[in-house]
Amino acid sequence: MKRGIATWLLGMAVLALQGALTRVLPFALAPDVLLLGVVALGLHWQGRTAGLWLVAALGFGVDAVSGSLFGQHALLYLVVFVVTAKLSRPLYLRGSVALALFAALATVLTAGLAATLTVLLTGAPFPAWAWGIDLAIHAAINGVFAPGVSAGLALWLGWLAGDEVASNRPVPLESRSGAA
Amino acid sequence: MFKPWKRTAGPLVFLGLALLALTSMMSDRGSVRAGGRDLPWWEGLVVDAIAGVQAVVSAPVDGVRDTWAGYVDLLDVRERNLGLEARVAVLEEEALQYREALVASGHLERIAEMRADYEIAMLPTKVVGFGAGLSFRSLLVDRGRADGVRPGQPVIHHDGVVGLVTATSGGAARSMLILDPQSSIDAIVQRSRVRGMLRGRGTGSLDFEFATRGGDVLAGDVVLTSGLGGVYPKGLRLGAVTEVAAARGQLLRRAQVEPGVDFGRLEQVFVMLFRAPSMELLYGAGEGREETAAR
Repeated sequence: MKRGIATWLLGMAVLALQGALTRVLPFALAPDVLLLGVVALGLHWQGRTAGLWLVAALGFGVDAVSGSLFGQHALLYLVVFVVTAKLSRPLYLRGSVALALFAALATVLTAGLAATLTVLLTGAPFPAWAWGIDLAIHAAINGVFAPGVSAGLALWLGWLAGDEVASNRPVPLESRSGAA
Repeated sequence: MFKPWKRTAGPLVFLGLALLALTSMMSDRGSVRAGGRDLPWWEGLVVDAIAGVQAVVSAPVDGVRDTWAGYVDLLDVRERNLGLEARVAVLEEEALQYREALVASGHLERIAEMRADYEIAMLPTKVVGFGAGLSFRSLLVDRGRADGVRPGQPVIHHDGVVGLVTATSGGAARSMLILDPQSSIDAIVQRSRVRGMLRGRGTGSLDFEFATRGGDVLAGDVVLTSGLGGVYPKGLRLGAVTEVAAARGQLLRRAQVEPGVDFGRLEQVFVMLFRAPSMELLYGAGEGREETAAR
């Protein structure tokens, strides 16, 4: 519980910083640290049910501040969290390259899904094709930042758990001769 | 007994939360169509807290940016000054001619009376940050319900229209930018008086859709609010046409419009303490009374 609240507060602080950052950087060039954080939670968070509550709370927090429909980010973050957790092992998402590619793909899919939901629910037109260029740049930026965010979150969770590296703790190997 | 529950708890929680998110979206879409809403206390608390943090973070960012911009501006200040002096002389001459013409026709006094009638109070606010996400274009300002800001009020800058207040908390307000794909404004071309709809594209430019028949729109034309959409007052600058698509026998043509406002450099904006009649209808008469009384 304490771990979840602390991580949610961290997420809100990151959201505030990210909002301030987009005053200096164009939208496309600013990494979506919250989305990358959700991907990282899918990789490192222990306990699926508590993780679901956490990412939904993060999503509702983002919805309160951004101009999206209330609940949209919550839904997207839930999907991203579950998909990341499911594909973590088959795709070996703990490797930097695989994680970067996955984060870029997740960016494109979530943005596309968000735009589609907005079109369906509000009747707004679909964004212009030039938006796709911004999205491609944004996805690439997110891909670059994904391994760093993942490593940072693993350290944060480790620190909360009183352990330096929570989920990447090496498994002690014993030699066959027993002289390890 | 315990194990099956443990296995199904995850999917059940996922389904429950997804359903909650979907229900929230469905109920919120009504407020989006209506132009905005007052946030509930807990949501307002999150927005106020984030706006507070962003205001603190923005201060040094603004300082560095202003210092740099000041230095860059100094480099060509003499040349610009000479150009501006020449322009001021031309404009003064033009203004004099217009005033003479108006006085001659006896309209000046009437216009002065009308201006007093339609004078709208404007509240200066500081931009503390932009909303997260590429699909939504919104900004957060540091004034909210306590200062009289209400959903449905226009947000402007001296370069043109910025957007519309869509949600308010006690000490902050969220505004949807005109760049957002959900934004749609009834607009008019200043030169030819051609009317059309100006829509956000989710990018840095806007789409102006107008009727092909009699549609005289050229690159460089200034686009203003028409005042007919029932949201923005008439005559606010929206941007300038950069490109007009060739007519292909359709009923509607499109032009690309560059917004008058440089959204990347916004620091201070004004909330017009005004809600157009159609917004009053959407929100009911009760809420708009304070603004009307204030005016």
